Amino acid sequence: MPEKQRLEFEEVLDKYGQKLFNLMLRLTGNYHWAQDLTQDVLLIAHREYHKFRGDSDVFTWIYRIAVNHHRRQARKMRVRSWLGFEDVSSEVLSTDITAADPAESSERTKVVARAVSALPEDFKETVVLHYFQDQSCEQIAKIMDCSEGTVKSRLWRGRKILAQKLKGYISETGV
Amino acid sequence: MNCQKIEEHLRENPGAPLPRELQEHIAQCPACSLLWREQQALNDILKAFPQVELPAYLGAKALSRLEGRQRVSGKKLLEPGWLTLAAPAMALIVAFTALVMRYEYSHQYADIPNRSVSVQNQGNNNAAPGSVQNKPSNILSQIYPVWPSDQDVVGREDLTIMASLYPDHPGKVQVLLDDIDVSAGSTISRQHIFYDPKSLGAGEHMVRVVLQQADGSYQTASWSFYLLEEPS
Repeated sequence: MPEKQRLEFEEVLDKYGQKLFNLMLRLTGNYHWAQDLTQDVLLIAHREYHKFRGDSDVFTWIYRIAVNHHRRQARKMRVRSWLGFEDVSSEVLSTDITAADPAESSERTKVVARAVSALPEDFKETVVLHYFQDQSCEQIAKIMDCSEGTVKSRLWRGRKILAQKLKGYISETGV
Repeated sequence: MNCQKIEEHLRENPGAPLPRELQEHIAQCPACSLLWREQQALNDILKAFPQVELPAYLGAKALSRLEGRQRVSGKKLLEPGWLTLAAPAMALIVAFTALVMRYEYSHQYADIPNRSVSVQNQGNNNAAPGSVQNKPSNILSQIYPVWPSDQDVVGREDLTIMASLYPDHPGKVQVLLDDIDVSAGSTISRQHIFYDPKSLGAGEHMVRVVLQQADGSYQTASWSFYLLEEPS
Protein backbone atom coordinates (compact mmCIF):
# COMPACT_ATOMS: atom_id res chain seq x y z
CA MET A 1 0.00 0.00 0.00
CA PRO A 2 1.39 3.44 -0.86
CA GLU A 3 2.74 5.39 2.10
CA LYS A 4 0.40 8.31 1.40
CA GLN A 5 -2.64 6.09 1.63
CA ARG A 6 -1.41 4.48 4.83
CA LEU A 7 -0.95 7.91 6.40
CA GLU A 8 -4.41 8.98 5.30
CA PHE A 9 -5.91 5.92 6.88
CA GLU A 10 -3.99 6.42 10.10
CA GLU A 11 -5.33 9.96 10.22
CA VAL A 12 -8.91 8.68 9.92
CA LEU A 13 -8.15 6.12 12.62
CA ASP A 14 -6.65 8.70 14.99
CA LYS A 15 -9.44 11.18 14.55
CA TYR A 16 -12.46 8.92 14.61
CA GLY A 17 -11.36 5.49 15.78
CA GLN A 18 -12.08 5.78 19.48
CA LYS A 19 -15.39 7.61 19.11
CA LEU A 20 -16.55 5.11 16.50
CA PHE A 21 -15.52 2.18 18.64
CA ASN A 22 -17.46 3.52 21.63
CA LEU A 23 -20.46 4.16 19.43
CA MET A 24 -20.36 0.62 18.08
CA LEU A 25 -19.78 -0.83 21.52
CA ARG A 26 -22.93 0.80 22.88
CA LEU A 27 -25.00 -0.03 19.79
CA THR A 28 -23.99 -3.67 19.61
CA GLY A 29 -23.46 -4.30 23.32
CA ASN A 30 -20.69 -6.67 22.27
CA TYR A 31 -16.98 -5.91 22.55
CA HIS A 32 -15.80 -8.18 19.74
CA TRP A 33 -18.54 -7.36 17.28
CA ALA A 34 -17.97 -3.65 17.96
CA GLN A 35 -14.34 -4.08 16.90
CA ASP A 36 -15.33 -5.68 13.62
CA LEU A 37 -17.90 -3.02 12.81
CA THR A 38 -15.48 -0.23 13.75
CA GLN A 39 -12.94 -1.63 11.30
CA ASP A 40 -15.61 -1.82 8.61
CA VAL A 41 -16.66 1.78 9.14
CA LEU A 42 -13.08 3.04 9.16
CA LEU A 43 -12.44 1.28 5.87
CA ILE A 44 -15.65 2.60 4.33
CA ALA A 45 -14.90 6.13 5.56
CA HIS A 46 -11.38 5.95 4.18
CA ARG A 47 -12.56 4.61 0.84
CA GLU A 48 -15.46 7.03 0.47
CA TYR A 49 -13.76 10.13 1.83
CA HIS A 50 -13.21 11.61 -1.63
CA LYS A 51 -16.99 11.54 -2.10
CA PHE A 52 -17.60 13.59 1.03
CA ARG A 53 -18.91 16.92 -0.24
CA GLY A 54 -18.41 18.89 2.93
CA ASP A 55 -22.09 19.85 3.19
CA SER A 56 -22.16 18.44 6.71
CA ASP A 57 -19.71 17.94 9.51
CA VAL A 58 -17.25 15.07 8.90
CA PHE A 59 -18.32 13.47 12.16
CA THR A 60 -21.96 13.61 11.11
CA TRP A 61 -21.05 11.94 7.82
CA ILE A 62 -19.05 9.18 9.51
CA TYR A 63 -21.69 8.64 12.20
CA ARG A 64 -24.28 8.21 9.48
CA ILE A 65 -22.13 5.54 7.83
CA ALA A 66 -21.68 3.88 11.22
CA VAL A 67 -25.35 3.84 12.20
CA ASN A 68 -26.41 2.54 8.79
CA HIS A 69 -23.70 -0.11 8.78
CA HIS A 70 -24.75 -1.30 12.23
CA ARG A 71 -28.38 -1.51 11.13
CA ARG A 72 -27.46 -3.57 8.06
CA GLN A 73 -25.22 -5.93 9.97
CA ALA A 74 -27.74 -6.37 12.79
CA ARG A 75 -30.42 -7.19 10.22
CA LYS A 76 -28.12 -9.68 8.53
CA MET A 77 -27.40 -11.34 11.86
CA ARG A 78 -31.09 -11.66 12.61
CA VAL A 79 -31.77 -13.23 9.20
CA ARG A 80 -28.92 -15.70 9.59
CA SER A 81 -30.13 -16.61 13.02
CA TRP A 82 -33.68 -16.95 11.76
CA LEU A 83 -32.50 -19.34 9.07
CA GLY A 84 -31.12 -21.46 11.86
CA PHE A 85 -27.43 -21.31 11.06
CA GLU A 86 -25.67 -22.19 14.23
CA ASP A 87 -22.56 -20.12 13.66
CA VAL A 88 -24.42 -16.94 14.52
CA SER A 89 -23.52 -16.34 18.10
CA SER A 90 -26.56 -15.83 20.26
CA GLU A 91 -24.34 -13.59 22.31
CA VAL A 92 -24.22 -11.15 19.42
CA LEU A 93 -27.96 -11.05 19.08
CA SER A 94 -28.74 -10.91 22.74
CA THR A 95 -28.62 -7.82 24.87
CA ASP A 96 -25.96 -9.38 27.06
CA ILE A 97 -22.73 -7.51 27.32
CA THR A 98 -19.58 -9.53 27.22
CA ALA A 99 -17.31 -9.48 30.20
CA ALA A 100 -14.54 -8.25 27.92
CA ASP A 101 -16.00 -4.74 27.91
CA PRO A 102 -13.44 -2.79 29.95
CA ALA A 103 -15.94 -0.02 30.73
CA GLU A 104 -17.83 -2.39 32.94
CA SER A 105 -15.59 -2.25 35.92
CA SER A 106 -18.51 -1.65 38.27
CA GLU A 107 -21.89 -3.23 38.69
CA ARG A 108 -23.48 0.12 37.95
CA THR A 109 -21.86 0.59 34.54
CA LYS A 110 -22.78 -2.98 33.69
CA VAL A 111 -26.44 -2.37 34.53
CA VAL A 112 -26.51 0.94 32.66
CA ALA A 113 -24.91 -0.65 29.59
CA ARG A 114 -27.45 -3.47 29.64
CA ALA A 115 -30.37 -1.10 30.06
CA VAL A 116 -29.22 1.01 27.10
CA SER A 117 -28.47 -2.05 25.00
CA ALA A 118 -31.97 -3.41 25.59
CA LEU A 119 -33.71 -0.28 24.32
CA PRO A 120 -35.61 -0.50 21.03
CA GLU A 121 -33.15 0.16 18.18
CA ASP A 122 -34.29 3.72 17.30
CA PHE A 123 -34.31 4.83 20.92
CA LYS A 124 -30.95 3.20 21.56
CA GLU A 125 -29.29 4.96 18.62
CA THR A 126 -30.65 8.30 19.78
CA VAL A 127 -29.70 7.83 23.43
CA VAL A 128 -26.21 6.58 22.57
CA LEU A 129 -25.53 9.44 20.16
CA HIS A 130 -26.82 12.06 22.59
CA TYR A 131 -25.41 10.91 25.90
CA PHE A 132 -22.34 8.88 24.99
CA GLN A 133 -21.28 10.79 21.89
CA ASP A 134 -22.36 14.31 22.87
CA GLN A 135 -24.37 14.88 19.73
CA SER A 136 -27.11 17.52 19.73
CA CYS A 137 -30.65 16.70 18.62
CA GLU A 138 -30.01 18.68 15.44
CA GLN A 139 -26.89 16.64 14.65
CA ILE A 140 -28.66 13.37 15.46
CA ALA A 141 -31.48 14.34 13.09
CA LYS A 142 -28.92 14.73 10.30
CA ILE A 143 -27.20 11.45 11.17
CA MET A 144 -30.44 9.49 11.33
CA ASP A 145 -32.05 11.36 8.46
CA CYS A 146 -35.18 12.31 10.39
CA SER A 147 -36.70 15.43 11.90
CA GLU A 148 -35.44 17.01 15.09
CA GLY A 149 -38.90 16.46 16.60
CA THR A 150 -38.58 12.73 15.97
CA VAL A 151 -35.18 12.72 17.69
CA LYS A 152 -36.58 14.54 20.73
CA SER A 153 -39.53 12.18 20.92
CA ARG A 154 -37.28 9.08 20.71
CA LEU A 155 -34.92 10.53 23.28
CA TRP A 156 -37.76 11.28 25.67
CA ARG A 157 -39.28 7.82 25.33
CA GLY A 158 -35.87 6.21 25.69
CA ARG A 159 -35.20 8.23 28.83
CA LYS A 160 -38.54 7.23 30.33
CA ILE A 161 -37.71 3.55 29.79
CA LEU A 162 -34.24 4.04 31.26
CA ALA A 163 -35.62 5.94 34.25
CA GLN A 164 -37.77 2.90 35.04
CA LYS A 165 -34.96 0.39 34.54
CA LEU A 166 -32.41 2.39 36.48
CA LYS A 167 -34.74 3.41 39.29
CA GLY A 168 -32.50 1.78 41.87
CA TYR A 169 -29.46 3.84 40.88
CA ILE A 170 -31.51 6.99 40.47
CA SER A 171 -32.86 6.65 44.01
CA GLU A 172 -29.26 6.25 45.28
CA THR A 173 -28.64 9.83 44.18
CA GLY A 174 -31.20 11.00 46.74
CA VAL A 175 -34.20 11.29 44.43
CA MET B 1 -51.41 22.93 33.09
CA ASN B 2 -47.90 23.55 34.41
CA CYS B 3 -47.44 19.81 34.95
CA GLN B 4 -47.81 19.36 31.19
CA LYS B 5 -45.32 22.16 30.61
CA ILE B 6 -42.71 20.40 32.72
CA GLU B 7 -42.93 17.25 30.62
CA GLU B 8 -42.98 19.31 27.46
CA HIS B 9 -39.88 21.17 28.58
CA LEU B 10 -38.07 17.92 29.42
CA ARG B 11 -38.99 16.42 26.06
CA GLU B 12 -38.18 19.46 23.95
CA ASN B 13 -35.06 20.66 25.77
CA PRO B 14 -33.17 17.63 27.02
CA GLY B 15 -30.60 18.64 29.62
CA ALA B 16 -31.60 22.32 29.62
CA PRO B 17 -32.25 24.18 32.91
CA LEU B 18 -35.82 24.97 33.96
CA PRO B 19 -37.23 28.42 33.24
CA ARG B 20 -38.18 30.46 36.32
CA GLU B 21 -41.95 29.83 36.10
CA LEU B 22 -41.43 26.08 35.95
CA GLN B 23 -39.00 26.20 38.86
CA GLU B 24 -41.74 27.85 40.87
CA HIS B 25 -44.12 25.11 39.83
CA ILE B 26 -41.91 22.20 40.86
CA ALA B 27 -41.34 23.84 44.24
CA GLN B 28 -45.06 23.31 44.85
CA CYS B 29 -45.74 20.11 42.89
CA PRO B 30 -44.23 16.91 44.36
CA ALA B 31 -44.94 14.83 41.22
CA CYS B 32 -43.21 17.25 38.86
CA SER B 33 -40.41 17.72 41.35
CA LEU B 34 -39.83 13.95 41.39
CA LEU B 35 -39.96 13.75 37.58
CA TRP B 36 -37.47 16.60 37.25
CA ARG B 37 -35.04 15.15 39.81
CA GLU B 38 -35.30 11.68 38.23
CA GLN B 39 -34.44 13.06 34.82
CA GLN B 40 -31.57 15.10 36.21
CA ALA B 41 -30.17 12.02 37.97
CA LEU B 42 -30.54 9.96 34.79
CA ASN B 43 -28.69 12.66 32.83
CA ASP B 44 -25.85 12.53 35.35
CA ILE B 45 -25.66 8.72 35.25
CA LEU B 46 -25.58 8.61 31.45
CA LYS B 47 -23.16 11.50 31.04
CA ALA B 48 -20.77 9.86 33.51
CA PHE B 49 -20.66 6.60 31.59
CA PRO B 50 -16.99 5.77 30.90
CA GLN B 51 -15.47 5.72 27.43
CA VAL B 52 -13.46 2.70 26.35
CA GLU B 53 -10.00 2.93 24.82
CA LEU B 54 -9.67 1.78 21.24
CA PRO B 55 -7.92 -1.61 21.25
CA ALA B 56 -4.35 -1.05 20.09
CA TYR B 57 -4.45 -3.86 17.55
CA LEU B 58 -7.66 -2.66 15.87
CA GLY B 59 -5.84 -0.17 13.66
CA ALA B 60 -3.34 -2.80 12.53
CA LYS B 61 -6.15 -5.24 11.73
CA ALA B 62 -8.01 -2.61 9.73
CA LEU B 63 -4.84 -1.68 7.83
CA SER B 64 -4.26 -5.32 7.01
CA ARG B 65 -7.78 -5.60 5.68
CA LEU B 66 -7.26 -2.46 3.63
CA GLU B 67 -4.15 -3.97 2.07
CA GLY B 68 -6.00 -7.21 1.40
CA ARG B 69 -8.79 -5.38 -0.35
CA GLN B 70 -6.43 -3.53 -2.60
CA ARG B 71 -5.28 -6.83 -3.99
CA VAL B 72 -8.82 -7.52 -5.12
CA SER B 73 -8.32 -6.17 -8.56
CA GLY B 74 -11.45 -5.14 -10.40
CA LYS B 75 -13.78 -6.09 -7.56
CA LYS B 76 -15.80 -3.90 -5.29
CA LEU B 77 -14.17 -3.36 -1.92
CA LEU B 78 -17.23 -3.48 0.26
CA GLU B 79 -20.64 -4.64 -0.64
CA PRO B 80 -23.04 -1.84 -1.57
CA GLY B 81 -26.14 -1.36 0.52
CA TRP B 82 -28.51 -3.08 -1.88
CA LEU B 83 -26.36 -6.18 -1.96
CA THR B 84 -26.20 -6.35 1.81
CA LEU B 85 -29.97 -6.43 1.82
CA ALA B 86 -30.32 -8.64 -1.21
CA ALA B 87 -29.08 -11.88 0.34
CA PRO B 88 -31.24 -11.81 3.47
CA ALA B 89 -34.20 -10.43 1.51
CA MET B 90 -33.92 -13.25 -1.01
CA ALA B 91 -33.64 -15.79 1.78
CA LEU B 92 -36.73 -14.36 3.43
CA ILE B 93 -38.71 -14.46 0.20
CA VAL B 94 -37.65 -18.03 -0.48
CA ALA B 95 -38.41 -19.14 3.07
CA PHE B 96 -41.79 -17.38 3.06
CA THR B 97 -42.75 -18.84 -0.31
CA ALA B 98 -41.68 -22.26 0.93
CA LEU B 99 -43.95 -21.92 3.94
CA VAL B 100 -46.88 -20.85 1.76
CA MET B 101 -46.31 -23.67 -0.72
CA ARG B 102 -45.97 -26.20 2.09
CA TYR B 103 -49.29 -25.00 3.51
CA GLU B 104 -50.91 -25.34 0.09
CA TYR B 105 -49.50 -28.81 -0.45
CA SER B 106 -50.61 -29.94 2.96
CA HIS B 107 -54.17 -28.93 2.08
CA GLN B 108 -54.00 -30.32 -1.43
CA TYR B 109 -52.98 -33.73 -0.18
CA ALA B 110 -54.60 -33.63 3.22
CA ASP B 111 -57.02 -36.42 2.31
CA ILE B 112 -54.30 -38.79 1.11
CA PRO B 113 -53.01 -41.09 3.84
CA ASN B 114 -49.40 -42.27 4.14
CA ARG B 115 -47.84 -39.74 1.81
CA SER B 116 -44.58 -40.90 0.43
CA VAL B 117 -41.60 -38.56 0.28
CA SER B 118 -39.50 -40.96 -1.70
CA VAL B 119 -37.47 -39.24 -4.35
CA GLN B 120 -37.55 -42.24 -6.59
CA ASN B 121 -41.30 -41.95 -6.91
CA GLN B 122 -41.37 -38.31 -7.79
CA GLY B 123 -41.75 -37.54 -11.46
CA ASN B 124 -41.33 -41.19 -12.25
CA ASN B 125 -43.87 -42.70 -14.58
CA ASN B 126 -42.96 -46.14 -13.33
CA ALA B 127 -43.93 -45.38 -9.76
CA ALA B 128 -45.24 -48.33 -7.87
CA PRO B 129 -49.04 -48.59 -7.71
CA GLY B 130 -50.37 -46.93 -4.62
CA SER B 131 -47.34 -44.67 -4.13
CA VAL B 132 -48.09 -40.99 -3.92
CA GLN B 133 -46.03 -38.02 -4.92
CA ASN B 134 -45.79 -35.40 -2.23
CA LYS B 135 -45.79 -32.51 -4.67
CA PRO B 136 -46.30 -31.95 -8.38
CA SER B 137 -43.55 -33.56 -10.35
CA ASN B 138 -43.10 -30.63 -12.71
CA ILE B 139 -41.75 -28.38 -9.96
CA LEU B 140 -38.01 -28.90 -9.75
CA SER B 141 -35.94 -27.51 -6.93
CA GLN B 142 -33.85 -24.43 -7.61
CA ILE B 143 -30.67 -23.33 -5.86
CA TYR B 144 -30.52 -19.83 -4.41
CA PRO B 145 -27.10 -18.72 -3.18
CA VAL B 146 -27.60 -16.77 0.06
CA TRP B 147 -24.12 -16.04 1.35
CA PRO B 148 -21.64 -14.94 0.12
CA SER B 149 -23.28 -13.49 -2.96
CA ASP B 150 -21.67 -13.98 -6.34
CA GLN B 151 -18.51 -11.85 -6.69
CA ASP B 152 -18.75 -10.84 -3.05
CA VAL B 153 -15.70 -9.90 -0.99
CA VAL B 154 -15.81 -11.27 2.53
CA GLY B 155 -13.65 -11.32 5.60
CA ARG B 156 -12.82 -14.56 7.33
CA GLU B 157 -15.17 -13.73 10.17
CA ASP B 158 -18.07 -13.58 7.72
CA LEU B 159 -17.15 -16.76 5.93
CA THR B 160 -19.99 -19.22 5.88
CA ILE B 161 -21.47 -20.64 2.74
CA MET B 162 -25.23 -20.71 2.57
CA ALA B 163 -27.78 -21.54 -0.07
CA SER B 164 -31.52 -22.09 -0.06
CA LEU B 165 -33.39 -24.74 -2.00
CA TYR B 166 -36.89 -24.19 -3.22
CA PRO B 167 -39.13 -26.10 -3.47
CA ASP B 168 -37.86 -28.51 -0.80
CA HIS B 169 -35.29 -30.86 -2.20
CA PRO B 170 -35.40 -34.28 -0.56
CA GLY B 171 -32.89 -35.82 -2.98
CA LYS B 172 -29.14 -35.97 -3.32
CA VAL B 173 -27.12 -32.78 -2.95
CA GLN B 174 -23.45 -32.28 -3.65
CA VAL B 175 -21.52 -29.24 -2.45
CA LEU B 176 -18.18 -28.44 -4.04
CA LEU B 177 -15.73 -25.78 -2.99
CA ASP B 178 -13.01 -25.15 -5.55
CA ASP B 179 -14.05 -28.45 -7.17
CA ILE B 180 -13.47 -30.40 -3.96
CA ASP B 181 -16.47 -32.27 -2.64
CA VAL B 182 -17.27 -30.86 0.81
CA SER B 183 -20.73 -32.41 1.07
CA ALA B 184 -19.72 -34.61 3.99
CA GLY B 185 -18.75 -31.59 6.08
CA SER B 186 -21.83 -29.60 5.11
CA THR B 187 -25.14 -29.30 6.86
CA ILE B 188 -27.74 -30.12 4.25
CA SER B 189 -31.45 -29.98 4.86
CA ARG B 190 -34.35 -30.03 2.43
CA GLN B 191 -34.37 -26.23 2.30
CA HIS B 192 -30.88 -25.11 3.18
CA ILE B 193 -27.25 -25.85 2.64
CA PHE B 194 -24.64 -24.65 5.06
CA TYR B 195 -20.90 -25.11 4.97
CA ASP B 196 -18.35 -23.58 7.29
CA PRO B 197 -14.86 -23.81 5.74
CA LYS B 198 -12.39 -24.37 8.54
CA SER B 199 -9.26 -23.48 6.63
CA LEU B 200 -9.42 -21.63 3.39
CA GLY B 201 -6.69 -19.46 1.91
CA ALA B 202 -7.27 -15.87 0.96
CA GLY B 203 -8.19 -15.30 -2.65
CA GLU B 204 -10.91 -16.23 -5.09
CA HIS B 205 -13.02 -19.33 -4.47
CA MET B 206 -15.77 -21.06 -6.35
CA VAL B 207 -18.82 -22.74 -4.83
CA ARG B 208 -20.82 -25.21 -6.82
CA VAL B 209 -23.99 -26.96 -5.71
CA VAL B 210 -25.39 -29.88 -7.66
CA LEU B 211 -28.89 -31.24 -7.08
CA GLN B 212 -30.06 -34.52 -8.46
CA GLN B 213 -33.64 -33.84 -9.42
CA ALA B 214 -36.51 -36.23 -9.02
CA ASP B 215 -36.69 -36.70 -12.81
CA GLY B 216 -33.04 -37.78 -12.88
CA SER B 217 -31.74 -34.51 -14.25
CA TYR B 218 -29.16 -32.33 -12.52
CA GLN B 219 -29.48 -28.77 -11.43
CA THR B 220 -26.25 -26.84 -10.86
CA ALA B 221 -25.48 -23.40 -9.49
CA SER B 222 -22.02 -21.87 -9.24
CA TRP B 223 -20.84 -18.66 -7.75
CA SER B 224 -17.56 -17.19 -6.65
CA PHE B 225 -16.38 -14.99 -3.82
CA TYR B 226 -13.14 -13.43 -2.70
CA LEU B 227 -11.79 -14.16 0.78
CA LEU B 228 -9.77 -11.37 2.31
CA GLU B 229 -6.48 -11.99 3.97
CA GLU B 230 -6.63 -11.42 7.72
CA PRO B 231 -3.75 -10.72 10.04
CA SER B 232 -2.32 -13.75 11.75
